[in-house]
Amino acid sequence: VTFPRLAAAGFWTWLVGVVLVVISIASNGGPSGGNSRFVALFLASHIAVLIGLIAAAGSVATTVLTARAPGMNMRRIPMFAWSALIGSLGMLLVLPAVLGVLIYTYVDYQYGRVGFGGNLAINDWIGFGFTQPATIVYSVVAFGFAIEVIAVSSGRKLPKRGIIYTGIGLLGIVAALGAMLQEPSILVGGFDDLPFGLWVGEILSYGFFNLLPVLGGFIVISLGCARPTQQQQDASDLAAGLRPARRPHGVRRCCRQRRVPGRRCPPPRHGLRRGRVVVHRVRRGAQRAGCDHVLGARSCGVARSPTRQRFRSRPSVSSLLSLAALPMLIAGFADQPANASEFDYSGPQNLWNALSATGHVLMLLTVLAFAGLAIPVVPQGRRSGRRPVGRPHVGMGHVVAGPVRQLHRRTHRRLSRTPTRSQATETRLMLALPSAAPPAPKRQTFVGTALGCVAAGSLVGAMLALWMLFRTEAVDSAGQWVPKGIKIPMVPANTMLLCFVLILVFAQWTVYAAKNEARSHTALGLALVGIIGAAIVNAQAYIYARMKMPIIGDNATPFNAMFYAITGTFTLLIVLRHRASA
Amino acid sequence: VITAFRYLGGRTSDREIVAAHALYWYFLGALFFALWFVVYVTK
Repeated sequence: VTFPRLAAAGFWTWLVGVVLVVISIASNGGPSGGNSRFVALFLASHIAVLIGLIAAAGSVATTVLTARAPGMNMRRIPMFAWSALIGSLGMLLVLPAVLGVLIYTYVDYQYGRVGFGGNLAINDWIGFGFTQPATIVYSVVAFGFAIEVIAVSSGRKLPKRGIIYTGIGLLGIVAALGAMLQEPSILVGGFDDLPFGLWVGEILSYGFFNLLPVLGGFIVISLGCARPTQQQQDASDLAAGLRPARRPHGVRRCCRQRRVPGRRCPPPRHGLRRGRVVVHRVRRGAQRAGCDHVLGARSCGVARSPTRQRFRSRPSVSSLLSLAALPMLIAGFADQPANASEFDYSGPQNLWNALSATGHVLMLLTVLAFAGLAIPVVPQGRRSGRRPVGRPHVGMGHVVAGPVRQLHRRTHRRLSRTPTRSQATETRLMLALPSAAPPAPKRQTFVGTALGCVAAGSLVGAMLALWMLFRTEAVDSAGQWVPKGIKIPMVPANTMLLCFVLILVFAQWTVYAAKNEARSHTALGLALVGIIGAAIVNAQAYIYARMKMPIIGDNATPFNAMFYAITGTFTLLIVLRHRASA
Repeated sequence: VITAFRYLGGRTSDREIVAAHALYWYFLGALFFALWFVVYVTK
């Protein structure tokens, strides 16, 4: 995992935020809640949840992009890794947009409560992050997980991997673009009253942002269940992913015979040595599972070890449980459960409510099932590392190359005869396989920073979009957006812009000096960038001091709260620059 | 600041950090231009 500290910080921020969300809802907070303090806590803890998810998504996306195994290009990565990449990119686009609106809502609720409707209108503003098509973005990883389990459990290759990649991408990216509109894309009905052009536009918008991702999901699932080739037709089984898979035939026979005292494995076929037979068959089984390269064969072979047979059935169960969100997904097309507090849908309300409730129950069962499956793993963790035939563990699972197995067997015999010091030393030297060449650097910091820039752009872009919406409505209704008596000082604002121009020049000079290994120039450039950055923050503080806008009281307006929110968020982005790469 | 500390701490061959630092400032510059125009100019 790239940026492990960032990922860990994201996880703990998310966990603390979720606990606070539950506490606030239980204490009459949340949307339409009656306790003012806990409504504020609900909003603040949601900010923590989103920040944690954004941090984790950035780490996951950077990992898939830059920390793949040597030789594994983007056309060979597993479907789960691809779906994790698409889902993380989608969340890096969607979640900052939700976060931007949430910051506006929190600042307005905490102070003036004049622009966003207080606790009764929370769902109106941030509801788009919890309904279609945003929920489709969150479900992309479940699709990748399910199709991976189907392929491995049924023991066959996935057909047309390129099309499946495209389907997952369609599922995630189109849904993310739809969610960034900050509007739940639902059919409003009443088409008879609409002109033909608006009617067509409504249908196209709905179809593009909702049905196109569903088409991508349909492609993924249908190809995952399709028969790949005629040769593998016998191995194809539509229900194979839903039940525990078989262990490779060769391994089971060998292990059964080894359990009988005094009996040995049958003689190897094709002139291969005994250890090689097991490896060959496991690898062949792994190839049936779609892992036709060495790394994949090893990993799939480990998954097929008899000692891990009990673990094999768990992904099969979880693949079924991963469909738990399906009722909520369907209910989301009618803006449920995001608009649960004031559900005014004109269609069959009871149906959508029942679907939403069923989805919640299934999600609860999923959580309980995972907890029930995870708890027994803790005391059995030591067993999971053992090799299936009772031999000492080598270090890469039991699927290792033939010569290594022979070497290890001889080594084990020597050690069991109480070896001398020189023999033990020799053994260690023999076991110490030459380490692989270090992989080439893959610019993890640069890629992570670029993804952070995408998230920052989505955050500020969403806030600017909402700013322009409020400005247009205020100008249309009251004729002005900036309150009377408030004057924005333009000199420090223009100074900030000029400072940014200088920073870009010095930042590029720093890169040029670093490439030419001019250390003093690089240090000078970095220092200048830091000093000018501090000057920008100082100019922003000067603007606040000059404007003296009230944020509480009768003179508070939406302009005041939104000005503080958007400029404060941007200043925070300057102050927190490059913390992620630390 | 962290980039400066890393560079002064001896990671002078790690040009990627400096490039990432510059990329972030370029992006912040573009964002501030949009914010400056929408918030400060058009008001």
